[in-house]
Amino acid sequence: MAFGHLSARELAELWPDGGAHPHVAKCDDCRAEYDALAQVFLAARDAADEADEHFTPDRLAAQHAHILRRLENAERPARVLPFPLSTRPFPSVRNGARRWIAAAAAAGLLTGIVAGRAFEFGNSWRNSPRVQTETQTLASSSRPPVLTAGTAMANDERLLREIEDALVEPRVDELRAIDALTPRVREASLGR
Amino acid sequence: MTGAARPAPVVAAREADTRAAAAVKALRAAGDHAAARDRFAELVSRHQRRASRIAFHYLRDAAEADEAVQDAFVKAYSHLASFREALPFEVWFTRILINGCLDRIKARGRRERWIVPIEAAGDASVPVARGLSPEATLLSRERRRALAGALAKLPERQRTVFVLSQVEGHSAREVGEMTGLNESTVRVHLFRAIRRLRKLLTETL
Repeated sequence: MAFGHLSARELAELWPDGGAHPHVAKCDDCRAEYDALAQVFLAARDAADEADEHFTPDRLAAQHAHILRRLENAERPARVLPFPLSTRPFPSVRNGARRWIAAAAAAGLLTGIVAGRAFEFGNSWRNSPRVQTETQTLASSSRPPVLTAGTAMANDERLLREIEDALVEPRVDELRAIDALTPRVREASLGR
Repeated sequence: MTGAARPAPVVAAREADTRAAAAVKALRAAGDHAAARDRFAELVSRHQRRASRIAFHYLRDAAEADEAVQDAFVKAYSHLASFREALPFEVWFTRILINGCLDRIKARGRRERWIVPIEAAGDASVPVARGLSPEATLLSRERRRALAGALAKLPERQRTVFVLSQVEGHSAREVGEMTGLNESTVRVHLFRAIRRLRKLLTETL
């Protein structure tokens, strides 16, 4: 008790019956101090009530159920997912059909090899001098030329040359006048 | 200021807690998990209201407090092997809960540094106290708001001591067991908290 008054600690110790204390009842200063401290305790009591208002019985029941569910889940052994294999087997092909498929594949392979060989042989035969002479003879004859791989390149060359000549000098009479007026860009580019 | 010797029902409840916790431990050791959970459910029922209140005072958000309580019970269950019967279950559990709440407050602080806060919902989110007149409800609400603001300004230790002793009604010895402080230190922190709160509340109210 300092200067005849109760200390704040002593006043706090008197809660909640401090109002009935003989000194507090008589001393205005101590009464005021006690009332100020009482605000703190009242606020603490209200604070407890406030939490209770938020946590209603229903909410607590839900919380309880949630906790137990979490405990159950935590204890359950980890689920191992099986490797995603198909439950139904792939559609099986009958043995006879499988044999036919294998035979067809083998035949296809064999045909491919034979055709490849024949193509190579044909190329080498056409490139021989005797065959080239025969080709020229055939080209000069009235019969339409038979395009083979060897002659194809020569024919292409000839065709391109003809196009070039046609471009250099138009053979259509109606176009000659226009051609005379047109700058000879192509000639310049060809360096003629 | 703080509760004196515990009345007989409280002592009986504590003994029941200790028995239940020991039974849960034994059942889990025996591999009877379903029975262990059933016994633990008793502990949850007995402590969840008090736990929710404590968490709410720390977090000031009912949904987050709910989560904190759930986490604390799950943690307590999974770490029950480390529980020693010498300490009341309530004390041991409250320590887990408070640590969880403090972790959440720290995490919230980190989040708030990066996220723009949404305006508080205001009074609409606060339920109306039942059985109180409108004036009393308003006054009570004002006091709560002022206390919440003032508590937030207290150092962490003073706030913990105040909430546990004044809001939850634990004795200085129990608060000491929960916080790891000795009894006289708890009293000092409690008195400092009250003095500070008195000053802050006088300025506010």
